[in-house]
Amino acid sequence: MRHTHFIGILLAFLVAFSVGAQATLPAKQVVAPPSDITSGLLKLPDPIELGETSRTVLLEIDPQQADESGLVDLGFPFAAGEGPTRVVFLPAKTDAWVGIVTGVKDSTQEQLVVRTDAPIEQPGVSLVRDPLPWGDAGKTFPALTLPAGQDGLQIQILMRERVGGYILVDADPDRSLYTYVKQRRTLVNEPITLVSSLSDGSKIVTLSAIVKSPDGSREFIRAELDEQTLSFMPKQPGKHSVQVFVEFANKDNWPVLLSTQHLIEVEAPTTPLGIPQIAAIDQQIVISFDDASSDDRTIVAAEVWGRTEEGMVPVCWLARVCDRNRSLLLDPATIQAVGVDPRTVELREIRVHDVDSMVPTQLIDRLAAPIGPGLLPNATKQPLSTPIRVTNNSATNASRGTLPGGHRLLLVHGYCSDGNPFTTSHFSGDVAVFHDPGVSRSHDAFALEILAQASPMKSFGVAAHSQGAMAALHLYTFYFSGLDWARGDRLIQSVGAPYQGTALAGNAAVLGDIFGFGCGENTDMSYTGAANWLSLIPTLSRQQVWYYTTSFEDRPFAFDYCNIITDLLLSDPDDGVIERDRGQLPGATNMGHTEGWCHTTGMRDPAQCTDASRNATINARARR
Amino acid sequence: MRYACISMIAMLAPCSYADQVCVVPNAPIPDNTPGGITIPVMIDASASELVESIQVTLEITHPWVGDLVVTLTSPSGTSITLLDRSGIPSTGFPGPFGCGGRDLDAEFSDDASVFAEDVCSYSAMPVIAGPVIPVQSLSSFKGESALGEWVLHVSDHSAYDSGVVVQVCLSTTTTIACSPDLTGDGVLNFFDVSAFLNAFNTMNPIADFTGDGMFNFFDVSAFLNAFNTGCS
Repeated sequence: MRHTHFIGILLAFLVAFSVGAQATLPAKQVVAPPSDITSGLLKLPDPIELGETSRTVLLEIDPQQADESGLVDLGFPFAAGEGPTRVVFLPAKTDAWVGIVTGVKDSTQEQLVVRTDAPIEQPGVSLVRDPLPWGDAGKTFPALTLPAGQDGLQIQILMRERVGGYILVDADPDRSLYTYVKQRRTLVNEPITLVSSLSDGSKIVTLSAIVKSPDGSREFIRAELDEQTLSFMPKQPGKHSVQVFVEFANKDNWPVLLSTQHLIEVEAPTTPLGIPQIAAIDQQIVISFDDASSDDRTIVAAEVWGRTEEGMVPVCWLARVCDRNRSLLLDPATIQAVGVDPRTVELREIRVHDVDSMVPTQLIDRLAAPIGPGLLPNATKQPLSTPIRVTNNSATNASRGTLPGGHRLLLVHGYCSDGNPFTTSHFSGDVAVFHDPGVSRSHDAFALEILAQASPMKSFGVAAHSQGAMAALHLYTFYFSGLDWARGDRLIQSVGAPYQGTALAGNAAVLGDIFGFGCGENTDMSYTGAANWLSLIPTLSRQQVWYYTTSFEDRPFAFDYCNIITDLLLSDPDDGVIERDRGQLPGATNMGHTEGWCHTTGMRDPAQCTDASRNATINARARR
Repeated sequence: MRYACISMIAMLAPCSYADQVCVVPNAPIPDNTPGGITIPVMIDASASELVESIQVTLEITHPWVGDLVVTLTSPSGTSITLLDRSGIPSTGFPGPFGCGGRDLDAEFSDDASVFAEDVCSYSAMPVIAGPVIPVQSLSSFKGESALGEWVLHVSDHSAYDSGVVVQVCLSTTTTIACSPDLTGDGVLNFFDVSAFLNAFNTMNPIADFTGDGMFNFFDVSAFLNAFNTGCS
């Protein structure tokens, strides 16, 4: 019975109390029911679950390694596994290198030599070129594939021009490397520890890392013998790229080198929250913390608990985007609906997240927040009923107009996009296109850009690609916008959205110093950043999302991929940028997975946003 | 519908009448047209009936009530605003286009406990319902003659959503300042005397001119004094 009323209470509260001290942004007081607490949906994940898995090694090539003839001999043999071997050459300047890979069979001493500048005639050998998805599409890199059966590889680079770059080697080892960051809070002057392990538990021979700080400085760190952890002390806030190298011996005792790449956001500490002050203002309970020392915006979140005859029970979960003034707003009706003694109310799992990086800068287990007598109203507030989603909006099929207002389907592109990826002709009625090309924004900044571009619309639903979906969901969760007034069926529909992050975030960061970061590093799309963000998105918001995932067409006995470079960095199935597993949003509606569609144009299969059938469905079912 | 005189307190004390007039125009509100539409509501009262209080019951179907401005103008030309783009201005909820809720079926009354422009939610439909306080007080009409054409003006100030005025009811409580004008026709004549005598004989409270609950000589005397004094 209590639960039946809860959603109504939440909605009533959400509607009634909006900006408060947030004078400039229409911030919502986000409220989630106790079920979101007990389910664990809104808990920070265990860092051990957020590591990077790798079966490849990414090696930086310094032009100074080349001899007088311009030859770089990597000097040590790369062990090869059971399957085909792939080597990608990534020079800073297109075609500045000739890549030479020699496969060696131990048993026969047979050698297979293939080059990136020569016709490929040997069976099982292929040479393809692909761009980096986050880079210049016209700049492609050669990838050589050698057939299975090689025992070892020798890799050489003949530099036509002495430029640096990377090579990416997938020697199909029988083990994978897993590395995670041990700390949830990654703060300046607090050690950050990386923990590595091999998938079969075998021994790591050497463990080292290169840490690149935001100012460009590099630090090489090496673990003690038999240690599986590495630590470094960040001295400045910002994005740190870290590459971890592990050496181990394969079953034939050949040394194998694997690496993982990480993008780690480091934040400056935030002002401690202090003891909460409780007050009643305008029929709401205001839980105020000490003011922050700056106007940097944060998300403050906490569970609210209280005691009943059955013991301590969860009341609700609160979160809110705050600036200098940090406070949470609690509807007294939630206290009364759950029936807890207001004098026993306490906050648990209190968190402060940076609104852009999502790094939790403060984590507090418990704080007492007793609500004194007189702060609660005498009568239980009458909750609103379950929301009625009104249909038959008279404007839904209106032609696109230039007048202020309108109820539109907003097509939202993703990170670092050239522009709208959807085939516009597949959409009808009142449609608008979000346009913010060539930039990298945090989910929050992206959401506020949507808010700004949608400001001429009375209401809108979203069809989003990639990061656009997370930005739309963030907007719906944390700010009032036309999304709240949209009518119809599906509010946010997404294609190829990495709700749980993508391994490319870390790899792009490492490669960034040579190739640029595309439009900029984006920690919100790293595994850790995504998990931190998702821990702030309650079920009621997730239920407004309908999502599609795709991947390359997987033909029998064929080597398939969307992009050969990213295929080495992602776990199959993937769409060239996101892995299917990481494209899932628990609590939302999974509209299924389709093969034969890749993330963007320029990949092996057509771009996923050009699927006429899917777009027609999105168009027809969109809320506007 | 005219209701009986509902009070007579003392000699020359005004008599109060309750009246409700409804129209069902089912009139479309032109979209994004500040000129809007006017809905006339005729109140057939005596010229001496003055407004004591007034309430407006209004039913409008509209998918976005934040578009609407509603005013009421009395026969004397006094105009007040009942609703003025609910939710505007807004820096947060409900947003720059005002309350996006659907439909209005409300009774505008100064005696309500919530302001019409404060009730907005995603879930309620009609979004503005029940007794609500108008933007400007209906007491502005107090003391004006109720007789004549009242005009409800409804306009839509934003494109893409349009609605219909389904029904308008004006509920008035009026007083007759001239107490011996029992016929309410604004003229003191034989018919008023006749009406008094009929009321006196049937012990109708309207004839209790002294307000003492009894029907006797003093009531007749008080009536005649008032009649002779006349009404200016």
